[in-house]
Amino acid sequence: MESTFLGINTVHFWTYLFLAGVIFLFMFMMGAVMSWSERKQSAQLQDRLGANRAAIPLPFGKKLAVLGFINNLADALKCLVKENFKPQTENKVIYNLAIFFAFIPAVLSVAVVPFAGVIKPAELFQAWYLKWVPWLPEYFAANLPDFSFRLQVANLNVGLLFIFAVGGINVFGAILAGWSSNNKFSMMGGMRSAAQMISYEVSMGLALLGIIFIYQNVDIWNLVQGQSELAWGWLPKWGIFLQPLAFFLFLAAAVAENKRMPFDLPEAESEIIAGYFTEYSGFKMLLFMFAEFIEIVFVAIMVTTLFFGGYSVPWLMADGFHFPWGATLALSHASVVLLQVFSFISKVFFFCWLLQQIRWSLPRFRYDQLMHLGWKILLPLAILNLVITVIIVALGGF
Amino acid sequence: MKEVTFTVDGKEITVPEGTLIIDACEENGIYIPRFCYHKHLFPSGNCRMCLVKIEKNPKPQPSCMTQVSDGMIVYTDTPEISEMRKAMLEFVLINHPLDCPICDKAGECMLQDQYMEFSGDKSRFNETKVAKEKLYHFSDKILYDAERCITCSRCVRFTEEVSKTNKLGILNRGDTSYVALAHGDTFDDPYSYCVTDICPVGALTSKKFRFKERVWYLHKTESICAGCSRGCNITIETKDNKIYRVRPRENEKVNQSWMCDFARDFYIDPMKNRTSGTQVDHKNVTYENVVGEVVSLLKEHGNEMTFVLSAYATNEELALAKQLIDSAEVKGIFTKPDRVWHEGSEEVKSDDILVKEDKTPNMTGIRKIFPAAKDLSEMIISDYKYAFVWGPNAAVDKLDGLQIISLSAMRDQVSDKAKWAIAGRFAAEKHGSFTNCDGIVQPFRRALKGENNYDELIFFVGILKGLGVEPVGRTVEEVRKAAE
Amino acid sequence: MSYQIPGLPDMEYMDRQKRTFLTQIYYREVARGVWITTKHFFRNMWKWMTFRKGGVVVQYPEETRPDMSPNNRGRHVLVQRSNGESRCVACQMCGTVCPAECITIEAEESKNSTIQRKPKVFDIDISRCIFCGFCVEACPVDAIRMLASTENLVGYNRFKMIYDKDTLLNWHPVVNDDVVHGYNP
Ligand code: SF4
Ligand code: SF4
Ligand code: SF4
Ligand code: SF4
Ligand code: FES
Repeated sequence: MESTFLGINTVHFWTYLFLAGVIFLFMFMMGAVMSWSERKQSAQLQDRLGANRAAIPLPFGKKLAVLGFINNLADALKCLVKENFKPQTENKVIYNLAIFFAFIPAVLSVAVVPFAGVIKPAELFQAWYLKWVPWLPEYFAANLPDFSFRLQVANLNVGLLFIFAVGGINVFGAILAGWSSNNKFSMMGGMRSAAQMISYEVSMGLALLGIIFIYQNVDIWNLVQGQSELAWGWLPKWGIFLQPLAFFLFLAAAVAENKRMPFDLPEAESEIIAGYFTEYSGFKMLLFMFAEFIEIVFVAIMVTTLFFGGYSVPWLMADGFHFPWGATLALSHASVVLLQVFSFISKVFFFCWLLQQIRWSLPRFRYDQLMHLGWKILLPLAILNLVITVIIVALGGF
Repeated sequence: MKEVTFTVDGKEITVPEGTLIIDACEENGIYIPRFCYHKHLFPSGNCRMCLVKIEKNPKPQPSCMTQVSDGMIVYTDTPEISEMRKAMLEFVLINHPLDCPICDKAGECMLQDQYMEFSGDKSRFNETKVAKEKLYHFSDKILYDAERCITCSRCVRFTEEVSKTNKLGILNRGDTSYVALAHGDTFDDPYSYCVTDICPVGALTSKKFRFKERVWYLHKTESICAGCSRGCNITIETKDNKIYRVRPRENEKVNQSWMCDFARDFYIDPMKNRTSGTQVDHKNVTYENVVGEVVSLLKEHGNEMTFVLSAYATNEELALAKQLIDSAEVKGIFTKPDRVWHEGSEEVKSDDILVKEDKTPNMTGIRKIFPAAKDLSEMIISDYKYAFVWGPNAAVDKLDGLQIISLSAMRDQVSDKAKWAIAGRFAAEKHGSFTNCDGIVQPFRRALKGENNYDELIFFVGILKGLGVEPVGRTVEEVRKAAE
Repeated sequence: MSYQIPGLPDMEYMDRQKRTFLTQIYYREVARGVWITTKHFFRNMWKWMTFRKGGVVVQYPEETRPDMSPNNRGRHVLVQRSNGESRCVACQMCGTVCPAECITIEAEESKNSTIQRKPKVFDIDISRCIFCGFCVEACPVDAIRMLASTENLVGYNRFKMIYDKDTLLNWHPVVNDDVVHGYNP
């Protein structure tokens, strides 16, 4: 009983549509969480309390501040009712489009990232704690006993290249915003960020080449699969263990791509005004900021996926734990999937936290230091890493 | 005139014979402190602040009473002289109340300034100060505080020599002396405010300005009085686009240091009946619209139009108006007195001190630029269909049956009747220059921001551009340069 | 780089780190910096999780520093005459000396002819004031003083932070009753 819709299996269609929606929502929620944690985390590490004033009044003189979350709502509201300033620009279309160039890549690229392994719905709902789900277990058991899918929106076999291709669009966002603002400061800000992003993209790509060589793949699914394996029977083959140097190079380059603190020269709001989005006000500015937060999440996802085994939990196989010392712990399919999702999301959270921590700990580089780091340190180290990796792989290592 | 050369503090100075030492020094950058001496009053030499040492003279001499003679050697800053100045200031301050916080003069008080510059000593006077009348109402304009008075007699000499009313005199002697009016008299002098300017301390103050604003907050703009054709040089003192007071500015050729009371009030009281905006048929329209309509009127009906000039107009505006009249071939040019003397008002019709009978500032300028302009009363109405009336106070019966374009800062019957009405600005709101009754051209600067974003000059520039004529200049400076 | 102070031996007056390869590639330095902030982060988080106040900053309108000096320059007050009128003679000395230009005074004639001058309007815009105390020093009649207390100098509305004559004459005013009572961490 295979029904099709536009030549696509209907169940596949709905499943992936649902998945895409969930992951899209996940990214936006994470963006909101980041914009909150930007304040609260920075406050904690600076011995402050952070945003806590905005509150919804409740009866009996109580206030609902939700740990400062209301501040974010208030911000959004403020940005919505602010004057929508429009510069006298030649090209209104590009001016407005630039915002989307800035944050679509991050949202789009997550499509190829697996959030967990293969899911077999028929088996999934047999776990005792999912018995309460109505209708779906019977439906899957009766109609699609063999149906399985990966928790990944798009199963592309050029995943990593796709991410690079889409991520490259980001530069256009900055440069078009700067150019179409009809303001020399915006223009210079756009050029600054273009120079920075292109410089660091080189090192980023070279650092990842090592990963590609080791796992002999550009399909993200296979990269994660490769990382789930064990070396010498006990060490997970995570990227961080096989490519430690590449991890550090990638982290630095990704933060620079993200235009976050030590590298936030494109913006540098306190010295050279707000760079390419000087002329964006109100909600448009908010979208740029939001894009930045989503990008942090995306960087965290990339680091997790490429260097920390993605969703994989050490020694967790499809049927449970197989510890290197021989013990096993059988788990139901649902538990495995949930563990994987949990592992993935907690890794992502950790790296989001780390990126925020770095952002709030460091002062901004000078532009020459930035270029020095990018071209004279990261790039040679990335090439060195690549050469060593190639030699080891050629000698049949790993 | 014979020149004499003398030496001050080792500096050779050549001045005309008969000059006082105090003047000769001041012209050459040496300021001698003074209280009673005023440039435009006869010296009286009673305050002894201006003492200088003259060689071969056993005692220090008052420089305000001593004329320069050839070969004289004067010292103004010996230790002896500065001791003497300190002693004089201490003496003046013995009974001085030090009311500075509540004194309107504070900030421009000669006693304050000279004490800060020449003394700075602490008071040694422990006794009780002499109490005197603090609120002596000289008139409803002038208030006298006897405690602050240092009996320099400047005010007395002013009423004797300049306004010639002889109203004031000094009564009593020593620490009880004070300036007084004759019993039951009031100080009704058309120049009475001048005594508040020349009083070196805050003894005589203006009631109008009393406690209004501290003087150091006032922004001073050099201007020319538009009250009559004398064109007294004045300083308009403003804050936040509001005139607080008007004071005369020294000009040897025109008004020396004086101006009449009428003009001071004339500036301070906000003008009533101001026009605003631009109207066609009593409906508000944009400025551009009016300019366009006036341009097409001038183009089509230039030869049926009469142009009534305003004697409030600046020379620069008149130059542009001339260009306009020539290029549009306007037929009749007339003038009118924009303001006339009203019997029964406080104003003086004319006197032989300053006030002139012609109550407009720039009639001489009109006569110079438009020698052919006739008075409005000589106009024959049937010759014209349109009238461009500039400024207020045109005789409305002389314009019966004409279509009126009115360009005026003041509302009157004519601007109410006008088909095209354009609000103008008055003298304090624009840059320009007036030619006074003696033919002296005097430039002035804008003291207030006008309400409209155009003034008469810009209006004429707009019209000239509409007519396809290149105006001789677009700003006051350009027009002035072109006229030279 | 060092510079010579005459009469002193040539020496570095700044604790400047040597530039080495390790500092130049930044990673170690970044890690050290992040380590310090991380310690703070977890210390404060731990405090918060055990229901104590994390940050060391004073949450101003509700809390005030207990160790404030008695000489602290806080809220302005106007001194009264025995009849309850302000001692101020509206001389504008304070307004003139005020570097923040936050004092607005309009004078008027007093009924008492020995005082002559008194303020009609006396506003201090406390939101612009920098608490320098110049106004207090400038006053010739000791009419304006500053209390040590800085309590409740807040407002949700900047017009509420303009204190008028009556407020300033009241030494214990309830200035703003609309501050949030209690803060959420
Ligand atoms: S006259 Fe001068 S010195 Fe005397 S109270 Fe007034 S300002 Fe002060
Ligand atoms: S009132 Fe003024 S001008 Fe007149 S004598 Fe006294 S100090 Fe001199
Ligand atoms: S304390 Fe300083 S800033 Fe504040 S009102 Fe006084 S002078 Fe002005
Ligand atoms: S300085 Fe003192 S007397 Fe003068 S205006 Fe200020 S508070 Fe009033
Ligand atoms: S100025 Fe010469 S005596 Fe007064």
